[in-house]
Amino acid sequence: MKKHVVFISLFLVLIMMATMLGGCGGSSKKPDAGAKSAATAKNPPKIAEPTKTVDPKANLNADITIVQQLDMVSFDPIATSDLSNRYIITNIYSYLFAQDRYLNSTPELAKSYKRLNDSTWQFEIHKGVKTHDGKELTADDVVYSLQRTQKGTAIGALFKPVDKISKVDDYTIQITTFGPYPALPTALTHVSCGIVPKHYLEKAEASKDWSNPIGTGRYKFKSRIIGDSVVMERFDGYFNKDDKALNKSLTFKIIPEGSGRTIAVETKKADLNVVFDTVDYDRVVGNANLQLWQHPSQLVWHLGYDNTNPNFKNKLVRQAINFAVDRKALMEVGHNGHGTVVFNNATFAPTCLGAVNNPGNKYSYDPEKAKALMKQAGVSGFDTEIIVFRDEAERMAVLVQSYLKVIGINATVKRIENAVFAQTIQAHKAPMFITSWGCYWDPDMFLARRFTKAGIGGVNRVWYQNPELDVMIDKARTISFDDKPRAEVYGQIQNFLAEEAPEADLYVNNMYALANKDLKGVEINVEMPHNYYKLHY
Amino acid sequence: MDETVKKYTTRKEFFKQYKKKSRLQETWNRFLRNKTAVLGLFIFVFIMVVAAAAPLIANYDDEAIKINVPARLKGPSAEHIFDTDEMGRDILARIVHGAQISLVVGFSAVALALFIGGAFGAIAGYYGGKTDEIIMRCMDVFLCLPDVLLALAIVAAFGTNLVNMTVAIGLSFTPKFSRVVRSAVMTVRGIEYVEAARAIGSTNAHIITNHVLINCFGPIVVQVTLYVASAILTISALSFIGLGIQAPIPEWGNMLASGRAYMRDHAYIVVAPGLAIFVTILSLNLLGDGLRDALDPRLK
Repeated sequence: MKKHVVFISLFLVLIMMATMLGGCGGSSKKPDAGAKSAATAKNPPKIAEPTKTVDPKANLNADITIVQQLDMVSFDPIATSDLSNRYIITNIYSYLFAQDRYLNSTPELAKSYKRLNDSTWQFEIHKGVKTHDGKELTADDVVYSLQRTQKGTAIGALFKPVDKISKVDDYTIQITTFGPYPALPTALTHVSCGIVPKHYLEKAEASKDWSNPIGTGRYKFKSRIIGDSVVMERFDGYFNKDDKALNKSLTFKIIPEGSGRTIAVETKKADLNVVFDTVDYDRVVGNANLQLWQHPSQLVWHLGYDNTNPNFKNKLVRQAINFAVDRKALMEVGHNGHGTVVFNNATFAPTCLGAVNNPGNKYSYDPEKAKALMKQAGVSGFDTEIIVFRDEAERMAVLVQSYLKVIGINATVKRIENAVFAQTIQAHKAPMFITSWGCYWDPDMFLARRFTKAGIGGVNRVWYQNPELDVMIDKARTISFDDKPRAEVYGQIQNFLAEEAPEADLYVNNMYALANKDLKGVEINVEMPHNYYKLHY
Repeated sequence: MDETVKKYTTRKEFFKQYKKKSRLQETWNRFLRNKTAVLGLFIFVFIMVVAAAAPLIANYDDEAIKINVPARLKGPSAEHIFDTDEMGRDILARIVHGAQISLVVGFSAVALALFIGGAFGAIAGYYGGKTDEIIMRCMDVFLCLPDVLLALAIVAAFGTNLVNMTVAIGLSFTPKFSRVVRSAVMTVRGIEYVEAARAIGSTNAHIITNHVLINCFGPIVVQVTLYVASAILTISALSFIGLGIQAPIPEWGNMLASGRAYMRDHAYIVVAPGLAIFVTILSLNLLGDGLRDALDPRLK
């Protein structure tokens, strides 16, 4: 209190002088402290369930506007795994398998499939699939697209077990794998497995111009203004007449500011906000004109570090960092407490196959233990940098900075553009970083990509590799087509990685989507709102 | 009438009223007649005092930079009259410590600009001719670039820290000072006392420092005041876009940037640093305008 007396008296002296002079009087603004009073939630968030029935009176010709935080990157499906990109371009292209809300596979182009033996799969595609420019899609297109996917880096380790992709007849393709690969259909849902018609793909590869994409998806591309918006219209020739788009067009607007997106929905400038900022939680649950939708998520926020960096080569330092950060406080600052804290080092969300929260009860928030580990490692401290590209992550980074200072690490926070994040990682210019990872239910879909050589240049952003781990990952893949024995191996892997501490997983945030209260068909999967084609009024 | 006569008992006192006032005294009197300028001065002095007294108002380590997550965004209270920010730090504490940073960097940057720009300007203005042409055309090249852009380029090239930032802003203001000093020097160099100094054999360096620059004091002071305001704004702008003062050091621009997500429910988080920037710059501009009018009545 005493300190404020000094300030207030100085301030009063100033005001006195100002009034004495008779000039313009300074007036300070009143705060709106009462804004938080709407704690009584009039309409609490609803759980977003898959749309089963559509009201016959529903308006299926609405123009839907969706707001998101970051711009898309490219219409080239193999360009990036970025979420902001994925959920835009999957409306243009079709996939052999689409994703359900747990990111498991559900057939789209694939009419039927069978395993001929442990390592040979055969997929039959629908007949009469039309491309946006009126041609018919055949096995040639699918094979050509998937072979290109196989060569690209975005899919990385997901296609590592894939040996050959070949055509059997005009509507059948065959994929052979090195040994059993139970997760193959799920791998085929990856964004880079989007089927691009061969005639367009050849042209686009030659000219590197992806600005006017052609696909077989539910929407035709209409226009894009970089950094502002993407517009697409319903494609009436979509092959599955029973599962066509329930709206006339989709417009994606980019609004980087969290509250800006909320306001866009509040003022009916947009119908759905797919990246809801929890800052506005109290405000929107008190607003009867809005509906907040919720779904448990598998988006794991984590603090990563370059394991090849001399500072992080020592396992003890990496463990010290895991003890030094208070995950609960980070969740408070990052997502206003809307989530679940995880102690893990292998980006397992608590709902993944075989997930163990805090393997071996190894970690907790314990700065003293962290200091002791640093001492044991013989490291007194060093300077480093935390790379971030999102607001939440930037706030968390400031907090992490203060935790690291306690154990002698001086970190600066550096914000970069999301489009250059991958390059920054590849150039070893991200000694530390904070970002999120949307994981699949089946750990085989991400472990090899994130912690083996095959993922380097892709999403092995922590540059971790260990032959012991490779053996375990292969074992978990090939041990059986049943879940139980696989889950056991994944338990061992998590224990192993807890000891190795290649990264520090922090928490899983709740997944929200904010919509106009009349909007129907809002669906959310474990990493983001999805299936925008079902949105209608 | 009687009283007036009574007042001056000695000759000395009688003549005192006719004594020519010093130039400084005259300027000061002229300044005092300009109410908005005096207001500007008062506000600015207040800000300087607050900045100097910052450690008395709030402890830097415990209140301005120490993160306290449970205390975040609790709303204004007796303990935190301007609310706490998104990390649970006292906003008032950050504002007053931020004032220190802004003023120190602002003044240092301008001092640097004045030193380098002033030296070039004085040389160009005093010697004229080819020297003038070469120096001033180089300065013109730099003048083409907006100062924020130039500062941004320097910071991006050499990295973001307090010193680089000061140097970046200082260098970006250099051409402006060289122009002002040059034109001031050009008006002075032809005056008789300079001729006289030259006639008795003073060196050029001596004339520039002792006779010319001293008499260019007026325009330089005005320029300094106005450019300190501009420097403070540039610091905040650079910090706002993440290229200036880095977290956790409190700076008004980075406070605005990190608090903007919470603006709708916690207005102080942006209103406080916004007002701080606004009031500081306004006071410096009022002060600068007042000084200009006071130092050179012909300009009015």
